[in-house]
Amino acid sequence: MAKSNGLGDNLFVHGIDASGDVGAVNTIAGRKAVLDVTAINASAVERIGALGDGEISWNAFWNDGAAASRAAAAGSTFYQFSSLPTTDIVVTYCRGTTLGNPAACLSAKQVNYDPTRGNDASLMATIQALASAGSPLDWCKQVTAGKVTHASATTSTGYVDTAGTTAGGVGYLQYFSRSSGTPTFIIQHSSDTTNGTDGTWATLLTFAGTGGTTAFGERKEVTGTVNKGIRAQTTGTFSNAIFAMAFRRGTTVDDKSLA
Amino acid sequence: MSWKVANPHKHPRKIPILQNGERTWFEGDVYDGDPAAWLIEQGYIVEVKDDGEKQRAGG
Repeated sequence: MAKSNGLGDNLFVHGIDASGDVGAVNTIAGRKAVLDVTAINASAVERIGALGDGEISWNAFWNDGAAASRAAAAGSTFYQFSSLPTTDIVVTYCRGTTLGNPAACLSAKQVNYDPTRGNDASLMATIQALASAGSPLDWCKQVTAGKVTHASATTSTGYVDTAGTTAGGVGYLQYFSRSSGTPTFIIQHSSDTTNGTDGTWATLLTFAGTGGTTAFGERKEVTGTVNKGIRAQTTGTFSNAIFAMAFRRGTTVDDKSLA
Repeated sequence: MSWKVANPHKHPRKIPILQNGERTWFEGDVYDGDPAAWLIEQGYIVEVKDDGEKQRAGG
């Protein structure tokens, strides 16, 4: 791997592609609290791990599209951000949009929407999303090359890691839209693929949410063996489903074992 | 020896369990593809007993 910059990154917020309205991603944080358990016979501080946490925050340009009245409107990040939903949202930061690239994913509460009008006429809002579903920030791999379109039920070419693992994993879905029908979103895995397409593939994870008129994001866990090949599949009768997927393999050092 | 497709991750009935190229198999289908060791070990296919015993896939 070579050193890289952040050119061509994307930010997806609960099924909204906010990339064109975001000027900076200020914080992508995976945190671990510690408890001080220093004993009286210790000569230095002793700490043990405690709660994990996560945060993604960003600066957004003002884009109210046709949504100043808060009626839903395509292309209006103002509508999404200013609504301050009380339910969890799923945020995905894509480091570039290449298959297998890193993606930071978080199930979170959006805790603010703070626009600022500068004396230079700038109009920016800072937005912070904090982990809220009992799960930390997950650094995943992109199962799709950023946002992709499946014209009908099909599979995308996947990525192939060097070996399978046995500690489960976590999948993320960002569903944006479809023209018609009801797509279902699946992550498949394979032990014998050589290129992300060939070989036999088995269904590993089925997302609960199916595509309709409402955009959404979802985080879902799977336990047990995860084979070396990972790819996205859609099934059902539909046309032009637009979505993005990411997946993180579980490890032996995860706080929550998915073995 | 013959094989039937099981559903170890308990996906909904309408979800295909196995795929190879254009071929897909759902839970309960006779599996006529290559019975690779990993498919057996991970519970994606189960052997159908020769004595006619009906082995319920994923049951």
